[in-house]
Amino acid sequence: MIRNYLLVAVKVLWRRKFFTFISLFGISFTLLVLTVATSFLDHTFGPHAPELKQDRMLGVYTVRLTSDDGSFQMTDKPGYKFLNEYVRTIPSAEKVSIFSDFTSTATYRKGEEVKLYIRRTDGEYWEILDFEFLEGRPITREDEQKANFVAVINEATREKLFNGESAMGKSITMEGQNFNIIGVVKNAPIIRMTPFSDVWVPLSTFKTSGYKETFTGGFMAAILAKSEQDLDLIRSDFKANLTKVQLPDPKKFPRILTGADTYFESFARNLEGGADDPRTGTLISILVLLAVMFIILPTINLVNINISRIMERASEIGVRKAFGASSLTLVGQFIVENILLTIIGGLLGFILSSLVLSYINNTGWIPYAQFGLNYRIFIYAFLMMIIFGIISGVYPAWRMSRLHPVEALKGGMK
Amino acid sequence: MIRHLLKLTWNRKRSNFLIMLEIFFAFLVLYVVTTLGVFYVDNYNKPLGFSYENVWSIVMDTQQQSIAPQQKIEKTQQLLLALKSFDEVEEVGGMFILPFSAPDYNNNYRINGRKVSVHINTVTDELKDVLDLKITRGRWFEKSDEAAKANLVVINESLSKELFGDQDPIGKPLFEVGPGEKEKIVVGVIAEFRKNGELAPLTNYFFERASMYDTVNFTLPSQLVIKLRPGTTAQFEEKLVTRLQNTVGEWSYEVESLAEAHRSHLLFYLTPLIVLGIIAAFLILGVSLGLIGVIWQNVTARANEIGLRRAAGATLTHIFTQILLELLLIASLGMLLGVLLVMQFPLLGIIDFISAKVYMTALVISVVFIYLVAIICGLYPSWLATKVQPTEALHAE
Repeated sequence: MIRNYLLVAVKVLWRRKFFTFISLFGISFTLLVLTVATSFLDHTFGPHAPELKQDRMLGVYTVRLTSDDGSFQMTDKPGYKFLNEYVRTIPSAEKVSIFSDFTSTATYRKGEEVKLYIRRTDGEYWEILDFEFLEGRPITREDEQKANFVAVINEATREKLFNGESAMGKSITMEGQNFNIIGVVKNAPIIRMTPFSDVWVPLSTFKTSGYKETFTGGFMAAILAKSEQDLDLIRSDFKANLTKVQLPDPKKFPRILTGADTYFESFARNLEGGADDPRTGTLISILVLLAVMFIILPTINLVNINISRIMERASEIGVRKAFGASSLTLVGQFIVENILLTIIGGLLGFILSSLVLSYINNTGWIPYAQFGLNYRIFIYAFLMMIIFGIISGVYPAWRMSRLHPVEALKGGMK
Repeated sequence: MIRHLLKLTWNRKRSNFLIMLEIFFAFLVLYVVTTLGVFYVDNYNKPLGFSYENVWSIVMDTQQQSIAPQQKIEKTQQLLLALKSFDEVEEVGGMFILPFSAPDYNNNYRINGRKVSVHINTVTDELKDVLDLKITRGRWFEKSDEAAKANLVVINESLSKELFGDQDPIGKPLFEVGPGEKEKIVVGVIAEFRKNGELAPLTNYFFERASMYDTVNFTLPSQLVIKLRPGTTAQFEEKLVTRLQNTVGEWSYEVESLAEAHRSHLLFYLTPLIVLGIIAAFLILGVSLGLIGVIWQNVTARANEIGLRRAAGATLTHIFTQILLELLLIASLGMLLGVLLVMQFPLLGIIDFISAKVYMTALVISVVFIYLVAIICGLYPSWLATKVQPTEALHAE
């Protein structure tokens, strides 16, 4: 039966090429936009190298100090002192890394400026993150303790500075400091706040030790749990630590709001001022709402076209009804047709989005972003296609089933 | 004619309702994009108020070291001397918030019962020459202001108009301050200073005077801006940074040309418009193709009716305009809904930095554009309708 439906569907689609084209255009474009958006989200929040252990990773990304009534607020990155005293001491964590936020700097190659981002890290950073090394080795705890002037650079920087030749044993000068390059890693995109940088050097190579006294500003922490089940334990341990916190200015800012978050939660936390807990629900609702708003117009368009296609086939439906086909059968047939159409359109959209994504990658619009398609995105896109196909097919199918056989046979309708 | 059309449209209300809904959403999408575009164009046509050509910024990072004001001032003085010793450097100024940078410092003041949002920057005497600011009334800061008892401020024309209306603001206090606070006295008015560039909306702005020497109030800025001799190349940067590094080695320096910062700042504003514009263009293209298809099918289905009208003496022009006007009528109804909805934005002042003028211009553009799309979509099906032969209809009956 289904086979019959499909054969009829192909024939019908082929007969009215203009309608088929319009439908496919609408479907594939809609899916193109949704797939590109999903790919953005996946590459921002999904588990990608070097954050392969993301399912048992938490971070402390921001600290918000507020007055009692919340009218004065200061939001900043945490400082080293705060992280060292209250995050490093979380008992349930397997590993904790403290590292600086990336900052912009420059080195010079034959008088030409090469702009770079630099990040200072401890040794644990390289144990928690799974950077893929093209050559050399990571910064170790020993490098950090001994304040070795060593640097790890990324692939793009090796390309810019050494034309892609081996960087081992070479050195790089930034801000008047000279570092020996000990390793080269693959690029990490700027949308990943924890791994992104061009150059990584040990924390202890800061020009002064002033950073050790800062409560807020310039640093982040990554926490690795022993297992996924330990994440909640870590959160509560951190909360317990926060009750003992000594605030820098308790008169002006008596309250502190922060937490150990997943990367997604860290975005939700910044969404609204003064929230104690990250509002992941709100963030998800906003994303879904945006998708729904975007999808409304193409859906109505497709419904319109579908109705036109059905009305055109009024006499066919009349004949089938006259010969005893039930409304349900006709609705089923039409929905199968519509899903077939959406799947073809969806596949087209999927191919188009891979082209668009590789174009975005090539423009370097988002530094080092390598947007691509994977099975997660494919499953999402496929689900969206089916939903899109059903939504845009149900109303026209219902209209079709209500056609009066006699009128339909005459080819007329109101 | 109109009544006749209304009746015809009403008779086919179910399928027309969907077309109307489609037009309604297409109008909304278009309106959002046009508003953003018109907003940018409107902003772009206003003066920037300063010049960023041949100006570089230097961000001094003291490496989070807690440092005594006296010491910081001394070190900054050494750096200023080092900078001025270059032939390429014409003038050096300091400011707290750089043009085209992300940070902003603004405050909401309650003045005469109104809430006024004001952006504030603290700058040195030399800034006027570095950024080529235009004084319209009064004067700029001077070295002798060091001894002044009050806090001297220079405001922009927008703020002057907001606070003083047509009165002369020179010599007047900016607004009442709380007890124990220093009064802010206006000494001059500049034409404009649009820190966020040409595409950002105009803001109320005032400058406070920063001092390179004052250890009590300690207003020493950690951002410098330098005016370079025209023709200085990017290669100069290495020389510059090396000398700064050799002068005060324990700090870090980040040098950027303001022209570069300007370019990336523009991109930051334009990217959303470009992305939205592309998506909207494809959405509306999809809708247009859909409309052509639907109207075409309608015409085919109504061959009997059209044939009958022809037989009863309607001319080809009659038929053509009937189909086209029907579509325009539906489009008008859809847009009417949309206009009623979007009129709420300026009325409620939801986004208050977008003026009613921008809203209305965008509205007119969107309406005209949707009509154009509707006409283009209707042309072919309407022409098709004129091809219907009266005999066909009579045959069917």
